[in-house]
Amino acid sequence: MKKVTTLILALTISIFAACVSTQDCRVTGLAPGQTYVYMYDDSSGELISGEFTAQEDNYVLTEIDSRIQCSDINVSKLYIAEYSDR
Amino acid sequence: MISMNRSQKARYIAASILFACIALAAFAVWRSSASLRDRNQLNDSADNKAKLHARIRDGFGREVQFSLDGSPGRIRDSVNSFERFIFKRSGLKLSARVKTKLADMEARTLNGSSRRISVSELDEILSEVAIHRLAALTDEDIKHTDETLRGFQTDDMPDQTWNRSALKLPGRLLIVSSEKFIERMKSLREKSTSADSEAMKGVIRSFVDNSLRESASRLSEALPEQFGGVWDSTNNRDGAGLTPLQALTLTYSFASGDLLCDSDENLHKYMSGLQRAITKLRGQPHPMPEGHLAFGPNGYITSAPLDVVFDDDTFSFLLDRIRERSGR
Repeated sequence: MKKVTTLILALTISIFAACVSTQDCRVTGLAPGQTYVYMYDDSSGELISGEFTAQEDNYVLTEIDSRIQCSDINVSKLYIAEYSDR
Repeated sequence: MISMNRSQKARYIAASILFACIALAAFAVWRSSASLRDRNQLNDSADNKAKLHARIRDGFGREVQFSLDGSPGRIRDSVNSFERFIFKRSGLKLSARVKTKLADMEARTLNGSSRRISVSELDEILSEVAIHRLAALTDEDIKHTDETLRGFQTDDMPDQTWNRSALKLPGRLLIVSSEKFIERMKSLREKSTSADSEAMKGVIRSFVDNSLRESASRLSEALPEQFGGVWDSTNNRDGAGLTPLQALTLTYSFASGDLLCDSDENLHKYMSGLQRAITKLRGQPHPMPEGHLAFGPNGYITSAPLDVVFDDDTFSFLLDRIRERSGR
């Protein structure tokens, strides 16, 4: 019975790891046509960064490591003279 | 009795797995809906919209003239002005064969021989086009797609990690390694020629649908002379429909990430501003925009593999599907 319990536990943990290894984080309140910068440290401490130009008022960051909190991802608008409000 | 115990154990295992998956699914949904707020801005959306519309009028509105009647000369001018506009921004070129076919279809629609297609129909057509193109992708095309979707890059960029962790798809950023993405694309290529292709069309439609509607709504409000009535923004539903040239404009905008904003001069100003902003942010010189296009493969603002997506065969396939749908 102990073996069965261990097996179930191992199976559940592996399913858990497989099912929620990534997540989506939605950024809202964006201005279409404006460029934004995103930055965060992934679970191995590596900096993930880059820029994107919003096409709608929201943007989804897909397949983010589930150990990262969405709120820890820094998204900020790039100030481009004549095109952005500060 | 023994078999009863096994059965109970089996049910216990199944129930545990089921419970775990339900709990995980609920957790995943909760995490997915977690919203980020941009910390540096809380712009008024009406103000953003007005500014965006002004930029679209300064770009597409000023540089592309659509013919409102079916006269062949004016239609040819429309097609040429559209081609010039997309070429100088993204490098995408229409062949003479495609331009002739497009002009002929536009004339038939404007003189009433063919009907306009709805935005929903364009969505269906684009899912067919995607499957068609996916099935014919070479390994080289897939590798190029991966490199291109990771954003603008030059060999002399100081930090080669900038932008490289994510693929920029319309409306979303996909954090994935090249190895995984290439593997997935190859698997999708196989599925596109199997019985799974119908299910894939559904997935593609759901991905394209919202962007097309947004785009149709935005253009019908920003450019009523060229796109008025294509989308019923009040009721958020299909309007009078799209001519082939309007449909191609929406398709280009979706695939390239080009919102059709800004004249040549202002687009260059935006790119120069972007260069200064990224340089300031990162404390390292970001490459200058000179010699680079804003959109298309290795586009300075948004990089998209338009050379892979829209080869001549795919353009013809797209126009043929539009012609089939618009036949009276």
